[in-house]
Amino acid sequence: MENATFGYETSPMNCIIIDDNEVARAAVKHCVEKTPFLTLTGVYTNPIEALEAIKSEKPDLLLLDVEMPEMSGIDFIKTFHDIPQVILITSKKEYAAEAFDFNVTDYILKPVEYPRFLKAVTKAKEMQESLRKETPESNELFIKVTNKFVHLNLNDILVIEALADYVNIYVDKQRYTVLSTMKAIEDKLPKKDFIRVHRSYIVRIDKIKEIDDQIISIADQHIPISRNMKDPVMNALNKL
Amino acid sequence: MTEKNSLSYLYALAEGDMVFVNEILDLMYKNIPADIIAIEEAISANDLKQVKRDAHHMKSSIQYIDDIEMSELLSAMENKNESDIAIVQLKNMLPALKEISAKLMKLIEAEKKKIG
Repeated sequence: MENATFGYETSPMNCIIIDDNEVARAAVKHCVEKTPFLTLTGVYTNPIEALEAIKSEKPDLLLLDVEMPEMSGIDFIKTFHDIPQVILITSKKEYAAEAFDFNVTDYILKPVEYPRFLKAVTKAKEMQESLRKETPESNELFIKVTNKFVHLNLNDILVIEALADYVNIYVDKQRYTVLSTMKAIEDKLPKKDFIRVHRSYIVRIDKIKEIDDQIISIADQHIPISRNMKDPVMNALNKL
Repeated sequence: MTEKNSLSYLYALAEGDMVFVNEILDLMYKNIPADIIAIEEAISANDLKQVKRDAHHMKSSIQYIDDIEMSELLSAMENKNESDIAIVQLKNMLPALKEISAKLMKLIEAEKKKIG
C-alpha cells in the first residue's frame, strides 16, 4: 500500500462503527481492519450507546449507518456542535443530498465494496491532515482596533456578538469592536473551546455560568440559544 | 468459489479471507430465520411501521447475497405506504419471502460445506 507516502504510520485515524445490523458491522469492521491507517476504537449498535464514547474518546471518524431504529444517523449528526468526520453508510441513495447539508465527508452505499470504502476513508484522512495544518494552535489573537493591533488571549474571551459588518468581542469588562464576519472569527477559534449558540453569538464554553432553557449566562450577559443549537450546546458540556 | 451473481460481493470484499467469509455466512444463516419471524409477527400485529423496519433490517442482513428477487421483495415491503390493504398485501408477500429465504439458506449451507 502507498500509505507511507502520506505518513499514515505516524498519525493513525481513530474510528468507530455505528450500525444496528451485525452483518453490516462485520463488513465495515473487515474494511477498517484492511486499512492500515485506521484504528478501530469501538463498535456500537446504536447512536445513543456511542454518544459517551464520542465525547470521551474523541474519535477522528464515525462510520455511521443512516437508518437505525433508535435514531437516524442524520438526526444523530444534528445533535453535535463539534462532530468528528462522518462517513455515512446506507442502502438508500436518497439520503445523500440531505447528508451533504451536514458536511459529511462521504457517503457509501451498501453493500460496502472495499475500493469505494478506501476512497472515502482516504478522503477523510486527507481532510484530517489538512485540518491539522489549518487549526489554530496559538492561544492568542491579534485584533485591529482603530490604528493598532491589540493582543487578546483566547482564554479571556467571553462572548462574540455579530453587529452588521462588525463583531463585538467581550473580554471581562471590556468590549472591542472589530471589522469581521462571524464566520471569519469562528474559523480563528478552536472548536473545542468555542461554540456558536446563535446566528449572532459565539461563546467560550468554559465561561458559561448557567443555562436556563434558551438563555446562557456568562458574566453579566444573557445570550440566547437558537432552537436548533440547543442539543449541540448541551452535548458540548461536560455534564453530570 | 461460488457461482457468479450470488456471493460474489462477499468474496470480492473478503479478498481471500475465509474466516471473514465464514463469519458473514454464519451471521446470515442465523439472521434470516429470525428476520422472517420478526416480519411475520409484525404483519400479524398489523404494525406496518415495524414491518418496514424489519424488512430493512433483513435487507441489511442479506446484503452480501446478490439475489434480485429477494432484494426487490424486501424493498417492496420496506417502501409499502400506509393504506387499508397494505397489511393484506404484505401477508400475500410472505409465502414468496419464505420460499426465497429457504433457497438462500440452502445456498449458504452449500457454500459452508464447500468451504469446509
